[in-house]
Amino acid sequence: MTYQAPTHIHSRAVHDELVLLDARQDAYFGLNPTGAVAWSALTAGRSPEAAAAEISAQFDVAPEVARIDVAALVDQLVARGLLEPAGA
Amino acid sequence: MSVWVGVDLLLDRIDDPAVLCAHGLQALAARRWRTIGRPVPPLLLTEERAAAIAALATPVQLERLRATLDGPIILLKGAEVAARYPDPALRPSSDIDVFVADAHRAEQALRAAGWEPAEGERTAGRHQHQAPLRWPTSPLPVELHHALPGPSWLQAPEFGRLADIARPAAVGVDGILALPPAHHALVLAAHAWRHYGPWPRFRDMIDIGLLVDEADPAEIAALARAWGLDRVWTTTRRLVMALSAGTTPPSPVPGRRAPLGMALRERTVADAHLRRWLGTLWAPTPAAIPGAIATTIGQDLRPWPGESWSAKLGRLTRAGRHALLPVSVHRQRR
Repeated sequence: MTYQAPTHIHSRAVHDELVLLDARQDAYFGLNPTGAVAWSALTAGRSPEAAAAEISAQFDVAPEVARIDVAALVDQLVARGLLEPAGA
Repeated sequence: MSVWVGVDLLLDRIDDPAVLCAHGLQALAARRWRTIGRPVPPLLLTEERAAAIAALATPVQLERLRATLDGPIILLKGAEVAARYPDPALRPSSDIDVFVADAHRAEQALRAAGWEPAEGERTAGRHQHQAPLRWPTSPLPVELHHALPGPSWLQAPEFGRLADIARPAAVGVDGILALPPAHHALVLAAHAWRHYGPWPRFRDMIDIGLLVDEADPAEIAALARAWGLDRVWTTTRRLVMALSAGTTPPSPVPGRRAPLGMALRERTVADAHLRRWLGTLWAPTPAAIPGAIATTIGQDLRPWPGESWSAKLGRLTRAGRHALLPVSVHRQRR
């Protein structure tokens, strides 16, 4: 499964972190460096598994841990309306 | 001439984060210091995130404004200039300034649509804008200008003439306009002069330099004469050229030593007043100077609209006690 950011979600990189704005609610969120890498991969149309592989490659994180963490992050992002299944 | 080479040289010479913030250079410094391997202090990291949030909030706020207000909306200063930075988040903004035909009517329309007074409402009447308003959930207030900001002798054209020559803003929000670069450069110079006299913040100089790059120098000079700002512009242009060249800002007083120490530290409360008062010496003619001095000092000594004389005396006393403190410290303690 792949995901996309709804059109009212805007993002901006701050060094290796990411700031997200939900323009409908004026709510701001921050993603740490690993979250920022996951976000970039997911919103580029890559699967959570591919995002986890990217995190494993860039950070000192075991592949299985990265998969679990990315899955949890996707759940949180979807729950907050920051991410939605592609084509939604 | 691009200002950016000179800006990097400047950022390499300033060590105090408070000075960088006072000059509006915090986000640029964070990026520069990271690039050259200097540690980025927590204050700059915090300011960098705040600048990113402001950059995200700006188009959202402008779309709200456009949806609520009729008529032309001319975006001034920060957000419009930020679009010319390598990244708009490198140019911190604490508010959005727009110029409209009838600021009072626009304020009523926004209040009716749910906008609320922002902190700093007491500044109403002191400047060329209405009391700042904010959308309840947005971090970025909006100031509705009823006149262009500048020193007391500014002879700016009326709104209608400026709206006729305005063009789509670089910020890229449909229906939001901006002044042509020559006009906007002068507006920035006039605004900086009103607040800082002949020692503008470095961010103001960067902003002006970016617009100058897009304008015909002869057009700016002609406009400056027409607006009563020819002497202000001559000095401002020298400062911007020095910044672009990476050299020490020249003294605004010919023949005097360059005030590098003054430029590279945060202004004190006494500096802030002296700079404004000294700035009146750049009124267009010798005959206009006494009136400019009286107006500017009078604005500093009179109570704000709606403020009692006892409250004003209290502020004056605090300012006197804090005369030698940096302005940021004075603001924290008042």
